[in-house]
Amino acid sequence: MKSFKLFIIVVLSIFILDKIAFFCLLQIDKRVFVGEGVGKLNHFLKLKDTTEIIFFGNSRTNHNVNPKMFGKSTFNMGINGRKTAFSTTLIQTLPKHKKQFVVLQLDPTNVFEKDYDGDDMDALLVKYHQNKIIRKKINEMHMENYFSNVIWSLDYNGIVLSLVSNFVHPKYKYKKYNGYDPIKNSKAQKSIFIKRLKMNEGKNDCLETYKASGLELKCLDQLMSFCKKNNKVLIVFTSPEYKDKCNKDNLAMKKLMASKGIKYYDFTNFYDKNDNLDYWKDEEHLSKIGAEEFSVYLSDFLKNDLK
Amino acid sequence: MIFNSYAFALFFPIVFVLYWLLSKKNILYQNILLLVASYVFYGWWDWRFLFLLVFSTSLDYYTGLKMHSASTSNLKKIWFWISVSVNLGFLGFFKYYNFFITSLHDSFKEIGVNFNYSMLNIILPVGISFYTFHGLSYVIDIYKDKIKPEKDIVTYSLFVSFFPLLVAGPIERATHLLPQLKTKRFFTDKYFREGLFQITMGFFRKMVIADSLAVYVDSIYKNSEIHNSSSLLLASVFYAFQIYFDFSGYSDIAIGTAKLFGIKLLDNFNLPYFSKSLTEFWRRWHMSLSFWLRDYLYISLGGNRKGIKITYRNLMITMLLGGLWHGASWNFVIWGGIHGLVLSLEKFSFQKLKINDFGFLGGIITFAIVVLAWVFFRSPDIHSSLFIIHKFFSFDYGALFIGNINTLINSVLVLLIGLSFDVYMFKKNIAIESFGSRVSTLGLVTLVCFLTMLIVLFYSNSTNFIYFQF
Repeated sequence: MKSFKLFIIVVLSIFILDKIAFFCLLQIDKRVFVGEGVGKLNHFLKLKDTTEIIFFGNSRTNHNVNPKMFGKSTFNMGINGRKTAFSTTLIQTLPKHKKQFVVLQLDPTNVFEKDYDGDDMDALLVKYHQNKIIRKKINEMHMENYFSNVIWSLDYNGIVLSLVSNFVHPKYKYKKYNGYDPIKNSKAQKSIFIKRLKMNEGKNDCLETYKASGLELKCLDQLMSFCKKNNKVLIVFTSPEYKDKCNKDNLAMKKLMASKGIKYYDFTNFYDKNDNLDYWKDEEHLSKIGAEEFSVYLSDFLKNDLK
Repeated sequence: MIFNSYAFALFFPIVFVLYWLLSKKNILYQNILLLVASYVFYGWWDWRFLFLLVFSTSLDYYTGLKMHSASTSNLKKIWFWISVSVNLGFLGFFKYYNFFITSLHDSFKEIGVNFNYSMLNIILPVGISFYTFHGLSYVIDIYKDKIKPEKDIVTYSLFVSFFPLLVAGPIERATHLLPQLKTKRFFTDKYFREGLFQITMGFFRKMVIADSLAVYVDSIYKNSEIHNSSSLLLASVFYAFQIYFDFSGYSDIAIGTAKLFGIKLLDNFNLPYFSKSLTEFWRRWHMSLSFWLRDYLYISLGGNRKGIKITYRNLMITMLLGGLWHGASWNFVIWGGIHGLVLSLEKFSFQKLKINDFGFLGGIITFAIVVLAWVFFRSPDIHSSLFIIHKFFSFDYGALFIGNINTLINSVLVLLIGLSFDVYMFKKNIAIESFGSRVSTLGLVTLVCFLTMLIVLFYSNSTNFIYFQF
């Protein structure tokens, strides 16, 4: 009987503590607009209804595209490690019927990921109890944490320290931030890059066939249908890569996008004739110098599409 | 099924409630329930390997009875060797076939002899090293007339398959566990408190500390060639703590879970990184394995009774085989070899100097050796291990690779919390196994709630328990 009482006390205490923790963190969350985890997401949710051009994608959007070059009100919503499910969900939170330009950076590596299960959606779990559209999408992809219906603070798993630190000491003024994080190359980074290039010399990561997963195709269909119905102009592109060794995936990507009726531009080989390592952080990410030059070109290239 | 899964979250309460509802009935019903539950737990991973487990259990049960009733010592010996060779044969085939055949091929190639061989696509049955050792200890004890064979097949099967210890130990002894399975178990507040605390602490150690550290360790070890000495050293120290909190966390959950069924398992860890010598380290690290190796291998080889040279030889053999037990790779053999060599050196110097340890300095040296040896344990191959060790001593100590700063800060923070608790237990001389019953109710509730909230807010995406691969 003593043990039973103890168990009940523990369960009740955890239940109460969890709710207290959740509401405290929620109050902080509402006030945080800086930082990649929650801050940038909050920033996006705050300005999504009024921004004309929004770039989505992963770190290759975040570090490679400077919205300043695009004139109109533009925001870069690229976040490290995010793939199609994450971007599709965010795009579906955009206001209905308002004309907006949705520019999505997709990598063939991610698009043709065989067992893609929407794992990148975990970054949206923080909004599970706050945003109906996000919750619906998370449930659709079965990415929900079943325990979070009882233990609410699970929404904040893994981000508490960054949330509190960004609340106490914001690293930048978010109102001046456009989502672009340029990379300044350090000596150490450059030396790692050179070693990596040597390591990968002669390696070819081409696959026999390229086939997108069911979830990937579903996301692309949802994306297309949402944009069509809600007055959004959808453009998909692939960022430059350092000396890409395989073009089979790029061709497959072009074919896939054409089959879905999505406007697609491939800039993989944009810097093919440029050997300058100062333009790169690594094979996939441009440095500030490379990104600014690419952004100028991209804005000019998309001039007609963004009218 | 693994402890940190939805399946286990549903499985455990059902088994727990049914088990105690059956406590008023015959003890056999409880054992049958636990046995069925254990097979479900194991079969959840791959039901086909249940046949292997059942076969291995039946073999040891049968040979145990036959050894006991054997009319001559020769007949007894025959039954003993049948059991040992079949058990080791299965282990050898599933775990070491590919390793031995490639090693043999490579050795012959060195002397100019080439032969064709084919590798087999073998899936290693989870826990095979653990349940084989359970069975072996049982038949060896019967052979040495230390115990009588268990006549009840349900009780014996449960001894081998009891789900908390089935896949990663602690490696039990028949003398310790079988008597508990044959007597009535009572639900006690003491065991409940201890179990509750140990399970919570186990989950905290595994899901929060070990899995957080794994993120940094994996990112460095994946591309060790491109990192400098500082990053490699930090990753190696982190790995020392990752494997400790991973495995001791698993053991805590296993021991705590068993206590909730009124069963006390063997202790497995006792603050190993506070050891002042490697000899002491092995009395505190994976104790159920090290004592098994001592009792059934080292002592069987003659231990320290046959002179100093034989003692060193026995130590080396025990540690090399102990290393090989962990996995089919030369890296594990080298890992065992380093431990064997240092243990021999320690034995030699302690005898010469007539001391038991080198004090505080010994603690630092022990930790350094353990970290160095872990490099072989963690690296994918000998080449990478040697590269990392070379880097340690090439003093290329530049700026640390940080990766995601939040992940790194999280890891350091939770590691400090875990270590603070260990320091507290070390200073107060309390074992984690009895902590729950030694603290006040208020203290227990506070600690369990605090740890649970830390798990909720800081758990990292779970990877499998490291020792599952063995």
